[in-house]
Amino acid sequence: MLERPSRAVEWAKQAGIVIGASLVVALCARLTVPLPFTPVPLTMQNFGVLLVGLLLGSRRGFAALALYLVEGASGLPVFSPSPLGLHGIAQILGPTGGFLMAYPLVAFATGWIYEHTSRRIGWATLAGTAGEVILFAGGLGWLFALTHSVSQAFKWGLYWFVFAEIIKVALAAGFAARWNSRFSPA
Amino acid sequence: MLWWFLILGASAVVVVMVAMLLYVQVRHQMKRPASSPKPQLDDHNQPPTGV
Repeated sequence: MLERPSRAVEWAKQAGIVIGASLVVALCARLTVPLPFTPVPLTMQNFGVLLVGLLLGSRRGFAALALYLVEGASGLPVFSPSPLGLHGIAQILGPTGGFLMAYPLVAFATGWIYEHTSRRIGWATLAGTAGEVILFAGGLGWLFALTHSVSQAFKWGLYWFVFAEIIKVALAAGFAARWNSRFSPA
Repeated sequence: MLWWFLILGASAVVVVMVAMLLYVQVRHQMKRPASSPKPQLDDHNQPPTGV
């Protein structure tokens, strides 16, 4: 009898964390720079995904990003503004769809690696880098399916972003490692 | 679209396996020097050397 309320409270707390994390990614998505030579914008969305994966772990990270996709598909303005003016499901099926649909898996993999390694900045960087590899495998694979050209997919989805992604991984890893050293029990 | 999910899943599995392999290797490398016996500085079992 006594366990029920505490379990419900715990469930509500976890649900709140997952919803909050999806909103953090939506906030990060507001920080976007459209590039004139590619339909893929430069955005902090990816940073938010890595951060959520590192801080919440695999399962909650996956749940948060799956919820994020549902929010975006239902028409809420949570995705980075599309240079082509796409919204909702059209944006998920558009040029950036491969990146968007990979997000839950990226957060899961990043969180899973970080959970199974010692919580240091080096391993957070490795986990973030692994997440980025999966992210770009999804994004570039999708662009290849749309353009039927590897060089075009790389031109639109990779070359302009490499340097920025390195910075995002470093920022997310540094933040997560610092957060863990401060708030995790020793 | 199915092939895209298959490629994504396969690449995720490969990436995670590589990362964990790297982690295990580095941990193994770091543990080995710590567990190896320390060199004895004052070894009295050495035969006396002539003066």
